[in-house]
Amino acid sequence: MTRVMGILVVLAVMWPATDFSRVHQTFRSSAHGVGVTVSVRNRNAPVGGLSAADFELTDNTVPQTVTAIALETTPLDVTLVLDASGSMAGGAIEAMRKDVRTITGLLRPDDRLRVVSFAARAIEVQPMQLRGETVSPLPIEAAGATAFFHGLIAALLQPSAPGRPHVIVVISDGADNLSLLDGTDVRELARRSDAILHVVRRQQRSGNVRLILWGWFPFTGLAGLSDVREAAEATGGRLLSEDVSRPLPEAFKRTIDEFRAGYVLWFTPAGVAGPGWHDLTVKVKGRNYDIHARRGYFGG
Amino acid sequence: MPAADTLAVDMASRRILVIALLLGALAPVAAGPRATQDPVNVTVTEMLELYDLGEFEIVRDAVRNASRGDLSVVLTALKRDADAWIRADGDAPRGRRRLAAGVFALEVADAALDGQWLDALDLLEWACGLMRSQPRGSEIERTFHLAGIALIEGARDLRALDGHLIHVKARFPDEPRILLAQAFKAETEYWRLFRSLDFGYDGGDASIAVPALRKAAARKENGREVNLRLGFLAFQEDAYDVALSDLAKVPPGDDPGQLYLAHVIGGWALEKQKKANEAIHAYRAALEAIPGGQVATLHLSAALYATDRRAEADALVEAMLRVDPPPPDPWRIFGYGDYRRLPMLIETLRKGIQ
Repeated sequence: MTRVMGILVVLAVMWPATDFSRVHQTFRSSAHGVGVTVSVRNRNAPVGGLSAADFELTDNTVPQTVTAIALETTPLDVTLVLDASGSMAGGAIEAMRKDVRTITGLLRPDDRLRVVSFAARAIEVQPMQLRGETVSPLPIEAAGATAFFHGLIAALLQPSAPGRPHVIVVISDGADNLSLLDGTDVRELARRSDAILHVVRRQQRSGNVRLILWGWFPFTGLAGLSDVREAAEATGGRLLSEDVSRPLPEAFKRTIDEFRAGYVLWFTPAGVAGPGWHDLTVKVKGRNYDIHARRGYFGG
Repeated sequence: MPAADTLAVDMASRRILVIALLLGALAPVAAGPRATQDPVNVTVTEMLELYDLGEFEIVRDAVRNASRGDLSVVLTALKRDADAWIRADGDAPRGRRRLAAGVFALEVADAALDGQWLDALDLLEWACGLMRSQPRGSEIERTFHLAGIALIEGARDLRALDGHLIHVKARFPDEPRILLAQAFKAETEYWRLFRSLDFGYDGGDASIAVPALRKAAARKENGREVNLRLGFLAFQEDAYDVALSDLAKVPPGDDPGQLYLAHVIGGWALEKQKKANEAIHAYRAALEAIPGGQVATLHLSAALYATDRRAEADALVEAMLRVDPPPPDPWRIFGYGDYRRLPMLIETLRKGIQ
């Protein structure tokens, strides 16, 4: 049996619908229009060649008229959020530095990359800048507790630049043992964020969480992960689990390739109230794709 | 001089020697070949000499740099050489030199806290004995012991804490912080991280921690800290009104970290009660106590973001991420009892040396 899989990555963005030339100038909220990034997969292969006529999009159950643009050539902003807690000391942090260099090489010249590291505190080790301007080696040192949720929230609260889709990729091998904010907060903020959040959880082959000795705050088991998964999916991203032995750039490349193979659907909300939460659904007409989409956006 | 008696420091720490030479304290070093070697070796007594001269920050930085290596050499050298160094300059400065050696040991132990705690504890016990060698306890000795408590709580070494409290009680039976240290032990039980095999946390047992904290509150000197901790325990129990009531009893004092935490936790309790604007006000107050504190900044930004004040939230986080290194955040060490007070206590002790 052929199983058709589709993954839809959706970015809720707003633009002044009356001026299409400004579509790529304004991804931030406005009262006029919404842009939704979409990637579609069929059995793990991106589906290309779709047009606006292939999509069905509803806003609070009301069908909308959309315009579609392929994302293939759109320059991206990527925020890479790296776990630099004590557990990464030694070989792991060195491997991470190497991975970041490889990841940088996977970007296009007009893509931009920001790198944020987190342990007990979060620091921007590289501001958002074009690929060719990146610093090497990155000044990341591994030490201290793991404020995973704080690092994730700091990334989500970063503004997205007008006209540039913003993808956040968070990579961590541990569990939080310091953050006061938690998965619930991440989930709530993700719903409001313009960015697409992907979280790559690096785990040991045994599947066990390693002991963490540096933090003091009660580790709440793996409960927070379901919130992280929901947060990522709410933005159109995903929570991925990777064995630590797998090269990190592989997961990054899959994520970015998938994103680039997608589209932006633009629409001006019609027949729905402006303010408050808007539920979104996106389908491909006549296809039984397994759709994974951003769940909505906050209207201005 | 045997290598084991020296503290290896890197090139950046050569400035210690430069300052020492300027002060005329290390004439033999200048004449010897060590001054041109890399790494430079500085003896513990040379470090003591500088410390006694008030070059606290330079010595502390050198010790912290050296703490990446093996600090047990310092313990060995201090135990052997410090007594002679204390007596070397006659009777008059002996008390000051004893204090300098004791506080220097505290600084070394603090630098070794993360990686070499057993050595640090040895050093602390040695210094504690040094301070107790006088027939009568002084206020500066009391401060020293409070710093010792803070350090042991920083290591969460409850067994060592018991031993140290016996010493403190023998010298200062009325010390109110003893009660607070005992409450810390009960509180640590509450926060015990790995309560079950699956690493799950079952919520702790406030019935042990709360009475111990209330007992500590019998001494008014402990009031602010007790109320802060009771407030957080109440928050953990989802008793937000109780938490806010306790936290309101943490007025500004000599510890900005205490006030910061009271506002952050209070703000969070207010958010749980859906009082977003009051929570934002509390987070702003926290940032007045500790400007740039990351936890308060993130809470404030998240609250602003959730109430559609995104421009301010964006700007706050952007600025926060660009401060390197970020300012110390008291939340990071809230679970380590009085360790938050250690810098203040060491500052008092340094003044005592001067």
